[in-house]
Amino acid sequence: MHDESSRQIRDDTEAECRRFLYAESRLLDRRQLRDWLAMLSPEIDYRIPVRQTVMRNHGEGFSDKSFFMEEDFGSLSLRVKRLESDYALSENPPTRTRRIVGNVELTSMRGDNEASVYSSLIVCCFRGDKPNPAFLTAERQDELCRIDDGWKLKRRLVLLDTTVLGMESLSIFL
Amino acid sequence: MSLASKLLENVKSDLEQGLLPIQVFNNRELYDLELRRVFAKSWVYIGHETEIPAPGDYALRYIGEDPFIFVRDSQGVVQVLFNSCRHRGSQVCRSEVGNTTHFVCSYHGWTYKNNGQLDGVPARSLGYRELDFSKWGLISAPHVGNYHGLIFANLDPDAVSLDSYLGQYRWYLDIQFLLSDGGMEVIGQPHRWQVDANWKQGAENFVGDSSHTQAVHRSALEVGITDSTTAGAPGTAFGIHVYECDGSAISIRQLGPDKTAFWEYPEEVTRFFGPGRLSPEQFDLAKRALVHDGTIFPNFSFIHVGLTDSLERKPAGYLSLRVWQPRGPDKTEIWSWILAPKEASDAYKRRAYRAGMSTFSPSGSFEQDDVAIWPGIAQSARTVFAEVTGMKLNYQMGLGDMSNVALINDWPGPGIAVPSNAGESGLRTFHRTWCRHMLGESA
Ligand code: FES
Ligand SMILES: [Fe+2]
Repeated sequence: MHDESSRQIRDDTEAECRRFLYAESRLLDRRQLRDWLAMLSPEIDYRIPVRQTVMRNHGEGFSDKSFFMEEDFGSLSLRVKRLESDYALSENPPTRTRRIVGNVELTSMRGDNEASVYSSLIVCCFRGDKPNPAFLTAERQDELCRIDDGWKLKRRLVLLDTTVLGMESLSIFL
Repeated sequence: MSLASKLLENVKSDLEQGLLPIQVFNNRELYDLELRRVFAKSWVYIGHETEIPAPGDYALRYIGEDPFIFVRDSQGVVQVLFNSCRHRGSQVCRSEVGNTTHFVCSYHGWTYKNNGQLDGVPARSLGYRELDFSKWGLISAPHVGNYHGLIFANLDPDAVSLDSYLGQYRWYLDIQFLLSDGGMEVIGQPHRWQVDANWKQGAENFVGDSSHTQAVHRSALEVGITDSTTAGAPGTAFGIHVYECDGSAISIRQLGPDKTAFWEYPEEVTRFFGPGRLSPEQFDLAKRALVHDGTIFPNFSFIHVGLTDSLERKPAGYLSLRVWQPRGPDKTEIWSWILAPKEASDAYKRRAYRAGMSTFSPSGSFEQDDVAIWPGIAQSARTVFAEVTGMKLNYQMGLGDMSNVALINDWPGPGIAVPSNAGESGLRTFHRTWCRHMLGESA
């Protein structure tokens, strides 16, 4: 009986987290960046570490000192504010993105209001008149927390599969 | 006669008039010449010694498109070794960074010490009895030089020393690197990213393209990441250009004589700064400095500046180093590192890193917008129309009668100084140096 109900909670939470990540992707693909900011906890810790090619006994090659982005709410807000300017040339004309979020898994919960979520991300980035996209793919490790009945993103670690970015700028959010 | 040789024939007189044929930014033949006449004959930046602090530490780097291992050997000596096995050419190092006493080739197992010496071959007594190990080590770059922690290598056996290559420009480098006793330290690992533009694009931008700032970086100014003193319109209020300094140039933005800026380093960091290893004049420039940026030919640039990632935090000073690594006539891999003074606290280094990353990096509020523009130049440069019309680019800003600003007569440093950054003298210097290399005139 007890097992049955905790499994139900897990399944419900996983579904809620999946819906959260899907909704987030929709906002980002549509460049509704203000609405995206509203999905973040004020305590957001958002990181995309630099990666290097290393032998297996050296781990996965992620830096603990260097990042493509290492953000809190204030710095993400400033990024969004700048990107809203017509003179943010890297995104005007904008990168047309298509995010596919898959393999969403609830990996752990703390109480009923904090969830750790694994997902895989593919972002296809179309710029200018290039008919083929640049791809960014990554594993994401997220922590979501429930604030006033809704989920917010509190922590995100984006583990890129590439070591060299194949595009001229990282002017989108992952 | 090919387009490239026709172009090289006239490029010197073009430059005297402040003109440059657009094809220099995307032409296969010129590019192939550059790999041989520029990259194989210049002091090319490899890395900073603080990236490989311990014996055995290594990182992979490139000279032109050629792979080298940047390694501190077991004796503590920094080596730059061609990453290619002497047996059959495979890469002996397949990991971008690490620590090792030996490089073991994966193909047949030739084993080299971390100073490049051959140390073992399999079945030596059966098949390689006469092999002279002293002749079959990894090939070192003919010259390796260290300038205050900056390691450069030169593939030309007849190269001049690094000191004479840098020449008087060292006066300006010293201001960036000798502020404190400990010097500057690299924080973490480099950013690497690819841009569909020619390698000279970034090099010329950093050498003194002060008039792009207000246009390209308008969004950063608009939202208050910095102000017009640091990044506004060019003019005589804060800007100084120094050019023809032994082939290099530097762009300076600074406050008045009695003001202190130190690139926005806070007091907790500037208390380590002192004129110890600098002249009073050099130290005074550091004290007043808002921005220093420059390029050492061919593809090493720096910007020393104070900026912020968030309006809730004050700007923080940092030094960004970069390499514009050629990957083809219209492709560049940008490498960038963020540095802070060694004595600064770990907390400040984190702060400096974030300030640097959020402004000059692939996600940087400034850098994003530079790089958005450059691919368009490479596209124009390969057009038939540019070729048939003999299209030339304009580098005449501030040249001759274009400006009525007099030179600074009592400028304390080397090179020619003009009290205005409404000019393109540094870019002309850069391209003149390029021209000398391409015509084989470099000493
Ligand atoms: S290629 Fe290296 S051992 Fe044969
Ligand atoms: Fe710029």
